Order: sequence, then C-alpha cells, then structure tokens
Amino acid sequence: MSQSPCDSNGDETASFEVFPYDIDRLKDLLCRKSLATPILINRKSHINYFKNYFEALVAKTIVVENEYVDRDYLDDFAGYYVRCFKEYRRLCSRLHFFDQRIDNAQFDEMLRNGGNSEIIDKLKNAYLGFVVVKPLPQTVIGRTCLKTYADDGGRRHFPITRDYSCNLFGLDLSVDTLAFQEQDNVVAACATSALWSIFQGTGRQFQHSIPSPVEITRTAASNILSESRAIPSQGLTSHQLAHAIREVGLEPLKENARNPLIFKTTLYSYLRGGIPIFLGLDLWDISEDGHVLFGKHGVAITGYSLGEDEPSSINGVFLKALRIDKIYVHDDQIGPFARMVFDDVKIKNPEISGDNSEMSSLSTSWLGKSGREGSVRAVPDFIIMPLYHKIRIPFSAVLQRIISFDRILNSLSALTEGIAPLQWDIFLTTVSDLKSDILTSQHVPGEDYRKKLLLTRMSRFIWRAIADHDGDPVIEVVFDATDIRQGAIMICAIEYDMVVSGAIRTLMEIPDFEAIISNQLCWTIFDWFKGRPMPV
Amino acid sequence: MNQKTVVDKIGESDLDKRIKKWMKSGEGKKAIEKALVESTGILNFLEKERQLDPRSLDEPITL
Repeated sequence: MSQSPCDSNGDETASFEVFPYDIDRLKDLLCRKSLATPILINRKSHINYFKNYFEALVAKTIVVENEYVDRDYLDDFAGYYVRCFKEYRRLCSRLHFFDQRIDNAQFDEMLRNGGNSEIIDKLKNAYLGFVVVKPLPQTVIGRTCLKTYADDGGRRHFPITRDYSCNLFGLDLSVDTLAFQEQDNVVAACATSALWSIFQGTGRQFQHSIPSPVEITRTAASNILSESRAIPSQGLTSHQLAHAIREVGLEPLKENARNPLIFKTTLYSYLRGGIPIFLGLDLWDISEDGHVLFGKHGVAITGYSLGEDEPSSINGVFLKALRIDKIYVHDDQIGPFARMVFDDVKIKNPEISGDNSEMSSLSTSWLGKSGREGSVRAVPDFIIMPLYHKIRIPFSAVLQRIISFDRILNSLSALTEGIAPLQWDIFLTTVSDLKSDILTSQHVPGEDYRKKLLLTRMSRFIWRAIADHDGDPVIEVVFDATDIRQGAIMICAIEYDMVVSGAIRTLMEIPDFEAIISNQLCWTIFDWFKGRPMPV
Repeated sequence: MNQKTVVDKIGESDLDKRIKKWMKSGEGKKAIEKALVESTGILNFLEKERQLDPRSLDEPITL
C-alpha cells in the first residue's frame, strides 16, 4: 500500500493516491479533500449509507484523483463561491472505487506501460464508480456515480440508469447509473438536488441540456414571486419545481401520492418508461410517543422492487404495480438508490381528528431524535413527472379505461375459466421498445400476425396495458400517449389468447351489449374488435 | 394459454353459444350492468383520492 502525501505541488505523487478500501479510509479522505472536520464527517448520514453500500458492492480499492475539475461544482463556484471574501478552492478531488485489490505500484505501472499493461482490463472490469469531493466546509459530497445494487433475480429495477464514462489519466472507465449529489445548502436545497438527478435522466432521454444546481435554483425562483432570496436557497415550492422543469423544455405532471394505490401504480407506469420522478414527502419523527412533523423533503425516485406476494388489486382489478414493496430514491441527505420500504406503518397526524388522521408511510434511513434507525418515517405527499411535451395522455386516463374493460371481462368468468382474473401491467414506453418486444416474443400467435403488428404505424410514445392470466399474456391494449383526451386514444389490441378474443367478438355481435356499454370509457376497446377478423 | 389449448379445452363455438345464451337470458345483461357499477365505484374512489392537497402547492420543501 502506498500513501502519498496529499499536497498540491503539482508533482506526480500528488496527482493520484491508491488505498485499500475501508470506511475509515473513506471518512479520512472525505475529510482531507474538503474543509470538513472529522466530527462533522462522522455525523453525516451518508457515512453509514456508504458503509453498507460499498460492502454490498464489495469495494476493495480507492484511487484518488486529485485536482479534478467538476463541471457542476465549477458552475456553482462561478455562480456563488468565487465572490465570497474567503477563498474557496475551484478544484475538487474524485474518488474512484474498484472491486479488485490494486496497489500504488500496479497503478503506477499502468501509467508507465500504457496499453501493454494487464491491469487496464482488470481496472475496467472492477470499476464501481466515483464520488467527487467538494472543497467545502460541510456539504462535501459532489457528483456521485456508483453502480446500482444487483437486480437480485429480477426483483430490483432501475429503469433510468445511463452510461457515465470518465477518463482517469487516459484510462476509459464507465458505470451504468444515475448521478447523485448532496445539497450544499447554499445554491441548492434538497429539491434542487433531486431535480438535478432527475434532469440527468431526462436530459439523455429527451435530449435537453442538463442545468447545474445553481442554474436550477435560479431558474426555479425566476418569475415566481417570493418574499425571500433565491440564493442561499431556502428550498423550493412545487410551483417553483414545475417552473424549473418547464425551463428545460419538459412539461410537469403533478399527482397526489398520499394513497399507496395511486402512488404505486402511477410511479411504476412512468418509471418503467424511463421517466424519473420527483417525490415530495413529509418526514415524521416517531422517536417518542407522539408523532412529530420533521419537515418537508424532496427526493428523486430512481428504482423499485417487486415483491413476491400475491398480486394486489383495487377492488378486484389486479395490477402488477401493486406488487411494489420498496422504492429506491436519490435522497441527498442519505445517498444514491436509498431504500424506502412500504411496510404498512401508519402515522398519526395530531392536527387532524377522525379516520383521516392516519397516513400511510414508508421507512427511511433518516435518524430521529432518538438516533435510532427507523425512527423517521416518510409520508408521500405528491409526485411530479417531467414529461416530453408530446406525452399528453396521463396514466390515469389509461387506468380508467382498463378498469372498465377488466370488470366486463371479469363478468364472463361465470361462463369459462381462462378469462379472469387478469393481472394488468400498465406502463409508458416507445414504439421502438414495443416492436422490439413483438419481434422476439414467444407469445405472438402466428407469423403473419407478428408481421402485421410490426408493420402497424404507431405514435412514438405509447401506453401498453398487458393482461396476463396465470403468468401467460392474454391480451394487450396499446394506447396513443400523444393523442388528445377526447380522442379514441387506443391504437390497437395485441391478441395472445383466442378465447378472450373470440369472447369479445361474440359480445360485440349482440346489440344489447353494445347498447349497455356504448357510453362507457371501455367502449373504444370493444369497438376496435367489431368486424375485425381473428388473428392468423 | 395458447390457441391450441383453448380449442382442445372448450372449443370456440361452445363459448360463443354460452355467451349468446347468457345475454339472451338477461343474466348477462345484469352481470355486465353490475360490472359497470363496480367500475364506476372504483373510478370515483380513485378520482377522489387523486385530488391534490392545495397546501402542497405553496409550502417550500426545505430539508
């Protein structure tokens, strides 16, 4: 092990340092590369989080890249810190993590021998990501790009990760993740940090420029009347969040998140489509007998876990999204992909009487007055989806049609098995993804039918509602996400099971049936089948 | 369930007849009307739960 001195004389030994990973080493580096004291670093919630996270990733080595220019910090520096009387540093340090043991001599050999060195492949394969350390007194964790947790047999899903590449003294490294950073309490509060992470995802997906934290805070506060100054930031309101989203060319869609049924189904439908979500929540300290409101907080939802429990339903309508048992969030006070669990604990709001005083909550990694993990609970308040302007049809409009359609199909279960109960998987996606699925699907009945589906013209953004029975797809309804709400919305059905297809066609031949449902939301779905031949 | 299994199990025309008989007897009409009442109930419940709390608009998110 080599421990080069951390000076900035510009000599070779100060450009990088290599250490075996352990949490004490990480704490020491966070302290030495910033202006924070050891006491302050020890108090940070991130430390406990990083300890567990790097254990899960099996980190073994830290390579320190000193004198690193970070674009986001540089913007914040130019926007605020440079004008302080006290001289703050412009340059950061970057800590790179690897799951293989390497030492200073090996790293030095790589730099000397270049492409002839065996260590290059070893380092590339072992890369876990990086943490930028900002030269500030308290909020030192800058842009952080770390590998996600493993998918654990398909249970964990992180649909909005993207490739982040970095170059470490000529060594090309990359990690599939979504960037995170801690709020600095000056140019950014929690909501700004969450939005910054969200824009990392939407910027790639919808091709917009990604503003730095200081730009987000300034934009959010512009044109919105406020009694207080924008910077140092006192936090953002949901109006200001919406304004910041519009400024990057996206449209905000806000939904209530207090009811877990609505929260789970909505977040799943957009997140699975690659849309990161802002979650506004209330934190409650339950350390003592009475539950005390801690404050309002904002995080970016970046993933979810689907539990193995029996499928849950909304009054008999089974939805895959209701199997969500955990969400993963970029919580700037905790860390990236921090877990929040739906564990059915209710919070009692002392200011409200009656049944409404009990609110569903999720676990968090925050520490309350007692200092005990689990002593702070999160009560979701609202979610905001930043959408491309052409995504006009909301999930709620699709769900309404599917509920109505499902209930009628369910009524046929008295006549035959195989039609109900159905479990619906509803999510936003693109025509490219749908057609890629059709091309390789084992469930499409017939070659001509597959070709016909592949040649069907569809809008760029679509909603898919796939119904399965006992794990096999039965029918899928494809909706045009770019249509107007009074339009038909539906593009086509994809028919997997001819029992259901035949039953729908039979119903549509009966005048009484048409008379009953022709003014219902599901009418356009049934009407699509009328006179249309069965797939061959 | 693939197409072959379905035909082997009950036959398309059999289900076809059952649905027509079911509708003709009035039983089907009642079941469908009941299904529509159920779905209206669910939609009304969801609509009510989706209403945003006006307080969440103006309170700054500060933590």
